[in-house]
Amino acid sequence: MNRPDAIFYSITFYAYLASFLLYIVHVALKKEKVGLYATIVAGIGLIPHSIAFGTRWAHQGHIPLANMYEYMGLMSWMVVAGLIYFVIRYKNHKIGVFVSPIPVMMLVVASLLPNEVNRQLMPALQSNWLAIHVTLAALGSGAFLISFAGGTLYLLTDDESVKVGRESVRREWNLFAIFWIAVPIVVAVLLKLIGILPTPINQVPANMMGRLTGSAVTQFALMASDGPLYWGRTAIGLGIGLVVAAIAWPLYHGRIVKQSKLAGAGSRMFMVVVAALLLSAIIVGFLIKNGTVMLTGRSYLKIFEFFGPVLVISWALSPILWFFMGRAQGAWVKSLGLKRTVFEEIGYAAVAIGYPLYTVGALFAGAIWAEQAWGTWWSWDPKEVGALIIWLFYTGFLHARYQREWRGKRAAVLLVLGMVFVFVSFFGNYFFGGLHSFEVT
Amino acid sequence: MSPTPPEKREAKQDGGFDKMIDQAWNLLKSMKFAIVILLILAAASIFNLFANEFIVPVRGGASQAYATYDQAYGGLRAGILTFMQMYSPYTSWWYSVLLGLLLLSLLVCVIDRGPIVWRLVTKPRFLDSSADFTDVPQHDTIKGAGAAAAMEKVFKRRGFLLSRTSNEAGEQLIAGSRNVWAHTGPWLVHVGFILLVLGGAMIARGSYQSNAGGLPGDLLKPDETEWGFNIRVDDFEIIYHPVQVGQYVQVDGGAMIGRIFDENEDGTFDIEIFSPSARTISSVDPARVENRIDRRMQGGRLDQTNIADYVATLTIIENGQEIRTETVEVNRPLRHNGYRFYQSSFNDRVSDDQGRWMTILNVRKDKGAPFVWLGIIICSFGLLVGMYFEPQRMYALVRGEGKDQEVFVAGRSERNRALFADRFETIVSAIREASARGTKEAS
Repeated sequence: MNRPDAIFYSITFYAYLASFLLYIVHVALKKEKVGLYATIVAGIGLIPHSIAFGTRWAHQGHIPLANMYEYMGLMSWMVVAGLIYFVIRYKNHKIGVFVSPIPVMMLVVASLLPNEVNRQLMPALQSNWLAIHVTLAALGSGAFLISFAGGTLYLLTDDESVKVGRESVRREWNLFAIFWIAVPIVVAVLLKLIGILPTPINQVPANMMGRLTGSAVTQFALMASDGPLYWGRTAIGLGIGLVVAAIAWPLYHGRIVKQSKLAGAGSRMFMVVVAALLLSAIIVGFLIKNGTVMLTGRSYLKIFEFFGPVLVISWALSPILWFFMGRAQGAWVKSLGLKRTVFEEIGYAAVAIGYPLYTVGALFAGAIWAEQAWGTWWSWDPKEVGALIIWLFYTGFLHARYQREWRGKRAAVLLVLGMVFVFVSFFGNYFFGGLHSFEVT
Repeated sequence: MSPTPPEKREAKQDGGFDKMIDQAWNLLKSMKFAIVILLILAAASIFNLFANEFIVPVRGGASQAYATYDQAYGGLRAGILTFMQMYSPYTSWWYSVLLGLLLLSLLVCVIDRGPIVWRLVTKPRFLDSSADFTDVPQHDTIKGAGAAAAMEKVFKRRGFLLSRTSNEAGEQLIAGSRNVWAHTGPWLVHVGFILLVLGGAMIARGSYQSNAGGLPGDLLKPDETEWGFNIRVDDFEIIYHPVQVGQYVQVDGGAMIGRIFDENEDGTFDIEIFSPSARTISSVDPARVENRIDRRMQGGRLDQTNIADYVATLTIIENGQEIRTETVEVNRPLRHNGYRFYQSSFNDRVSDDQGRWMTILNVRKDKGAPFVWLGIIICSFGLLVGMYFEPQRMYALVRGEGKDQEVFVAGRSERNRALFADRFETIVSAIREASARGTKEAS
């Protein structure tokens, strides 16, 4: 079936991409006007984005928030709206260079999710609470994405201007090697040991088999087969390990700095992986567009087929990026001239906007709806537990901000981890099933 | 023997128990404890999420736990898993202890912070001497004849409520407050959560739950003793979505089963047939296609996803009298005398002479529901107040008169300090401008 919203989503994507590129030009050339244009383009992008949402709503006959594609669309809308709000509030366009890639990435990922127009809503979803519950949760999650940007930049600006000598560079490379090779290998082995990575089809847990249908079972079987594909899938573990390393290094950054006087190395590792993931996603996106990489038609495991190559390519790209970023000495964040307190405040302000939306939307409205639909306020369903974990993290962050010892870096770490769980909860349906896996079943 | 450390001696002399209570109280009210318990709960929830997925499920209740684990993992691991109650991790003793600690922390915070919040909202705060002003990050001094009047004017124009007093030196002190009532927000959120947790605990411990089913014409119970009333099933109907792309369908009265993958402009369908043999048929007339399929797959009906709604018509009978008739759907339960009746499922293996299936209703009654509702309302209100309104305070000290008048100004915001620094600059500039205007007019 033709998607009437597709053309508007395409325009939106190109507007956000243009905005991101303009922000880069703004920062690189230090031209204030270009920053203004970038923000205007992002703002203009919200128009086709809103029209796409409205068109889909009109065409389906119900609010387009019944699947992950639609949810992600609204989340990215919130990120852009939040970006414009913060740019105006702080009178600084440079914020855009960190926040604007998020909606671009989200729209890329969303385009890989099942996105057919669906006029038939299952009975459990036919309620006004769908709009309240999902809209508020998506808007709250969007705000958390902005806080994530604030938190990571706070960690990055930990890069104090330490002169890096020849000896330090060698040490940095040694550390990079550990985080690039040793951590990913350990993670890959661990993942394999606990059975998340390719499992022979006869060892797939019975409860999981029940959830897989048709082509999904085929996918699982392929994962388990021997040969190049098997090793390709195993390499995904290395990619996941790289992401783990990227998060772990900045977290232990202080300790590393104290021991080896390598200020900035952890933060650079983080940026290397973020940049590598972005670049890889773009590469894989193009490979899919020109047909080199084929994704399984209606399979919900398509997302893994996308992220598999992305993770592997990221791992391969990392040393190259590490080399080039090392030459820049990580001073570019500092060169932006944004104070560290601004990042902290953006992180906090975004949580202050998103936390009430998420609490009322995801937890309270969800509980009220669950009482109305299933007769129980809380079922410890995986999605509910996911929402609770996210809520606990951000509640922890809000408390941390009032505690002197927990302010700043530790609070920023909570923002980063909180975001990880926003995504774990978001994609959790594919792993955990439960009452909220409307699409998967 | 080494001498007892002075702290320990003091504790013994001072009454060890009282001190212990004080220490426990201080620990429970501390922000650090709250952060740690929140993060431990988050970690425990993550652990449970994965444990539920990877640990062998136990069928037959807690009594079967050890035997099931023993068979899957062996004696030692089975003992640990059973002790940790991993067959029901979210209601396990250790998870309940964590929730209990969180509740205790919430209770202590609410009691401890109550008077502080009250004072923050009701009592104006002054800075007593010019030295105090320099301790506040945002501070400035304005000199000139009209400075004090200008300051008051600007404060008022910016929405600050003013209170006045004077210090021992006879200098005038002014306190301006804006949105200070928003200090109640976090406190209300804590109160709301206590009610929520209490309500949840009451529901978990003492709620009534059962299933009742019947064919149209049946009474759900033999008499009215259990609920104080009875329910009669008048009708039960399953409504299907219109036939459309993506649905499992049967063609020619069930001769072929497949899935529609495209709809043509002339309204015909292209269908991927699975049974009796795999093939594709094109341009099938909609009249040949039905989306009600009386076949099963993996324990469920093949047409499960084609169902738009399940509608049961029920009549409440109390003391033998028909009270009212209502339709019950998913998302629309029947509520009567505290009982709720949910359209839960149906049995398509039993039908009446008109071919109508048996409806199955889930019946519930929760004592804690009012607490949950109240908790949600208070908590939502607290979040709105606490997060979207920013308490701000301005302070001023007026020294001298006429040309020698000096006004010390300081300002503080609980949040967004960098933004408030800009706002403070604007306020001070406005005071300076107004003061200069006033001086000109006076001269």
